[in-house]
Amino acid sequence: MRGATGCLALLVFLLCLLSSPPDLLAKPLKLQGPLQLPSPLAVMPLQDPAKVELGRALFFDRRLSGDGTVSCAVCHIPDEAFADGQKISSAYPTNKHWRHTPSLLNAGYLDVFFWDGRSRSLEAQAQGPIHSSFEMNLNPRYLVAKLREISAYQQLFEKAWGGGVTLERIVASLAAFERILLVSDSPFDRYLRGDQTALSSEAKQGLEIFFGSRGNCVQCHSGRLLSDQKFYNLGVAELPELISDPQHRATRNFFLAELGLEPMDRDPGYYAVTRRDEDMGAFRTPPLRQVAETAPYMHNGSLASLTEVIEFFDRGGGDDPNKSPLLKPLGLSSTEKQALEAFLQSLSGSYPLVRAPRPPGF
Amino acid sequence: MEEYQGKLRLVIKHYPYRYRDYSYLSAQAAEAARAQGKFWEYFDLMMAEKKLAREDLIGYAEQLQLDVARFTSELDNETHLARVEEDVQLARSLDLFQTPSFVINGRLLVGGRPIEKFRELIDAALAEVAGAN
Repeated sequence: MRGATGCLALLVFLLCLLSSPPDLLAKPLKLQGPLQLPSPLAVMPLQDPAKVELGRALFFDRRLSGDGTVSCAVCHIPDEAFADGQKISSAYPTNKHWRHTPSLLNAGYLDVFFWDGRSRSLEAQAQGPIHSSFEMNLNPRYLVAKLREISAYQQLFEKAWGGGVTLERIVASLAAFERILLVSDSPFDRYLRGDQTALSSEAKQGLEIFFGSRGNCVQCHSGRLLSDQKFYNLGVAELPELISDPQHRATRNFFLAELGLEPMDRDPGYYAVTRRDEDMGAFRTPPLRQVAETAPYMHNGSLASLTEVIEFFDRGGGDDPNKSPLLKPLGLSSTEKQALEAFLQSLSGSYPLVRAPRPPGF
Repeated sequence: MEEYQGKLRLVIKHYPYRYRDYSYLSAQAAEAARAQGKFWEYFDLMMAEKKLAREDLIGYAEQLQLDVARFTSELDNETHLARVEEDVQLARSLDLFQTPSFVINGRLLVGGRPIEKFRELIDAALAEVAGAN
């Protein structure tokens, strides 16, 4: 489900409405029994409308790529919950990617970014794909030089920042835009705020499985975002094409070489950041708002549906010598699996429908 | 296509990537094959073989028993370049830059997707048409 806001002005207006002091008073809701639910999402601090507007222009601008064909919106598609619906992300033309696109929704709440956690701020994250040879493939310093020659951008930067184009301002503007891409009105969110009617009885049963001992999904999908932002090896199988296809292999090996690692026939995940053996094949727990709209799942998009994801966890995950000991076969009944899926469906709310502005200077 | 026989029409538009050596050439070759009534056979052969230099393209024309002299002449004289450019301009006017991109009754899908996603959009489009009638 998507919101009905059709233009940024309305978005900013809505943000103003939402931007009362942070929701620090919300208390965890207790179900009958021992389940402890997270607090409702905190209200995101108001973003400067001029920075958001500049960030929106940059987000949709294909000139942020080397050949002028790839914008951020190519992989983070507004109509697809700011993900892209593909197993493996789109890549810079003639190249192939090696990981799945995560949704940007609620990314503004995160502290750790990318599947492997190699970035610790939204601003730092925003710079990565622009520079990446297999994503947007543009030297950021060249981007700055290009934008400085576009008077419409000069004006937008002046309005937003009181100064000219810099790389820091580019990524900060992108981050400001991303911080308005929020979901906080799902049935689950309404339930957390005290609306006992927000969840169907099936979804409530699923909630009990999720937060209780039957599923215990909450051991990783915890906190307000339903993510502990930590890293686990679930034993997700490598996609065969990532192993066999020379272009996918080249991308992976290039990525690894850039981090000083030798080529390998697997995705090392968090190991590439920490170099600790126990982090081999571990990926960040994804937040779960709007999860029903962001199939396929996992770092390589190898699970096509929520049904497959639930089956995967019911089996105790996949096979990997380094698999997290937290994963055990659950033995859920078909009714319990359906209930769990109903709960995951209840995590979808409305999010801003953002359209591309006319590119500055055109 | 078999699953939706009689309900679905597939239209291919060219979008040769400007920095690829052979993409414009192979798009024109497909049009030269169309001029002799064998677009789909030629298209499928190119996709299967994946070699797209001029000699390869002429070889495919031979395999499909096209009039090779005519095919080669049209290829070398860029007879169908304007037709290919029309598609490129159409794509740009629709703000399409990625391949493959699919438009299903107005709904855009960028990139390869599972068949279920196509079914979802095709079924929705068919239901919409049925509702309108």
